[in-house]
Amino acid sequence: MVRNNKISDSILVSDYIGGKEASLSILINRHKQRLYSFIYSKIQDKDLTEDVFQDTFIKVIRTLKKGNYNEEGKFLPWVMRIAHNLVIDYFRKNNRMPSFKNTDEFDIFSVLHDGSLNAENKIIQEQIYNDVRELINELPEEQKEVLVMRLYKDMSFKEISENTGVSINTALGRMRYSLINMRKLIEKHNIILVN
Amino acid sequence: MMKLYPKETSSIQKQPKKETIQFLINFSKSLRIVETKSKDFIELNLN
Repeated sequence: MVRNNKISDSILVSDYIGGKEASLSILINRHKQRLYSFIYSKIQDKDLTEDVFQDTFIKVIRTLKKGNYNEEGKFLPWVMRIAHNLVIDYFRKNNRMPSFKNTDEFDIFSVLHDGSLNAENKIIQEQIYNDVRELINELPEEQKEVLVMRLYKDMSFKEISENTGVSINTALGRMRYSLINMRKLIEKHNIILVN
Repeated sequence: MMKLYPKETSSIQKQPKKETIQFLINFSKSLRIVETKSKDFIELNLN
């Protein structure tokens, strides 16, 4: 145990990426209390906290195994940010859910119709994702890089700056221009990105 | 004197269940990620 405490997060992460599964267990046990408390402080529900905690580490595991992790030495802030984003997703989803009132006037179809996307909407959603991917591919390389790191890899601008070797302001600028350029492309091609 | 507020929850209680930790460890062990030629990732769950 004492020995485990001496191993830094970055070494454990690197060992885990290298195939040492036991390192994951040490990382989870080292940070579980802080992460769990953080999620619970936002959600205030034990079961949901458990779910978000689990989803957070599933995302961590997937990202590490895909080799998409670039934040040596900053494991916990990265994990906390993933958890934070999942908490936001939970609240967004929750707000969209129709309220359930168990009365005689309750209409089951008011709940059922909104639960998931129907086949048509799924196709439209897939088309939207494809359009967005194509739009991103149209961007200049340096703008695309920042946008992908920020939106798909959940990286902060500070981390993007460290990974790309440019200042935070430049990274912010590239992000801004990538969005401006995407809007221009959307207008130019009359693309509709609404389901 | 009567306590108006319950005792603060112990920090020991504020942690995930052992089953959740075990699930994550098993999930990790069973997960293999394969990169395709087109740079996409395929997840293989080897249960």
